[in-house]
Amino acid sequence: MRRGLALILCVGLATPAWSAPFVSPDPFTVSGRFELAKAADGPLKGHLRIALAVASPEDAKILMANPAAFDTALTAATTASLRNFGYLAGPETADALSLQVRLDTLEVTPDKEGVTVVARFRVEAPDGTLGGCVPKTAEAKYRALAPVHGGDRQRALGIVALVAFAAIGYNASQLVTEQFQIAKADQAAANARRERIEGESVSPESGDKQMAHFAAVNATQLALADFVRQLGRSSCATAASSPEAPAVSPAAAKPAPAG
Amino acid sequence: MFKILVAVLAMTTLAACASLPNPLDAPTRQTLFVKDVSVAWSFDDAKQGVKPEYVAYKEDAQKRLKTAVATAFATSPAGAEGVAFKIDVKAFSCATTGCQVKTDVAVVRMSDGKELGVYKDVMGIQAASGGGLLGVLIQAMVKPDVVGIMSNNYALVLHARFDAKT
Repeated sequence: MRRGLALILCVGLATPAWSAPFVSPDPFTVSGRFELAKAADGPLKGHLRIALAVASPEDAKILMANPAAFDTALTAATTASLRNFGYLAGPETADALSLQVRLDTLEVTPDKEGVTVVARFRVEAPDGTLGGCVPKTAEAKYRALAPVHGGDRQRALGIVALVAFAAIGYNASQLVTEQFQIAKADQAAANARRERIEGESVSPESGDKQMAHFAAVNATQLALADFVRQLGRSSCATAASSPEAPAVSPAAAKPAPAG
Repeated sequence: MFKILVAVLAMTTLAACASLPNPLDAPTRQTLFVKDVSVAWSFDDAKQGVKPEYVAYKEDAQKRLKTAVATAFATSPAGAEGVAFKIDVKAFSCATTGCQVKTDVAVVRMSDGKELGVYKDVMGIQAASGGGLLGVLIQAMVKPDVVGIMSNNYALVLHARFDAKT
């Protein structure tokens, strides 16, 4: 009787696995939690569209996802991130820039205390003045530390979850801020002096695969956050800014050590 | 046995969600992210008085419910508008043999304080697995983290209710 019940329930729960795989875009999306600047009135506001966002099959493997499903999720996450900060073009916008976004192969480095992942996006925009305003690369580094063991496992998990949440509780002071001057109209100089966003927290699960997955999800999200942040700091962000007057970023948290 | 219990809880959760209307429609939910979680206590626990065990469970539950919900909603939904989840505990009972809570959860937009909707009678449960008296006795000996398990179950149920179709 019990085995029959267990079989019925297991079949019922397993049924979703037979349908098309789905990857939620939410963990990769840059939400309002990040407290990044919304798009200022200017040529970039409401003028960007994501034509395609893809990742390599190796990335999908690290993220424990079906490659096609992950590409769909990545496109949705990138689109939602632009929408959240006012950059997404509406369907009626005729002159929107269509961007192609590619996630480079994730750089995974395990060590005795955890796993570090570097995520890097390459962004291609059509040629033109506005296309030149869009950042071409965005990246972030995330380190997942191995969780503590022993004692009350439920409490340990609760503590781990609390630390993780606090560590990635997004506000401007917890993001790495760079100290750089936006050159008058020189994107290359700005990129050369940009520092990478970094994050770290305790993984909720142990095991190299699980820690790599946790770090990869967070690194990918932070890299998208870096892209949104660079959009806000672009010399084209505001139509009224003079090319002769460099914009200086406000001083906030201490700069991170060089990656 | 544990797998059967998890399966039963999951199926119960899904069945319950299918029967309750969602106060927030899907387009609205997609624009939100959970910025703050608070726990209020309207349950009249005067009969419990100042029993040390009850007070300990109550204080632990208030903290763990907040943490569990904040963690469960940390990455989803992922919109731009910050909201606060105001959890109001209407019923609570906890002992080594099991723990359960019943709440209403108001979703309040932080920019203007407007209440967007209320999820009524959201419950979290930790119950002894296995059959009857034996299961209860075993639980009394093993002393699992009833508050933690209940809180995690509660967060799961709340997220399922939040994600359910209207």
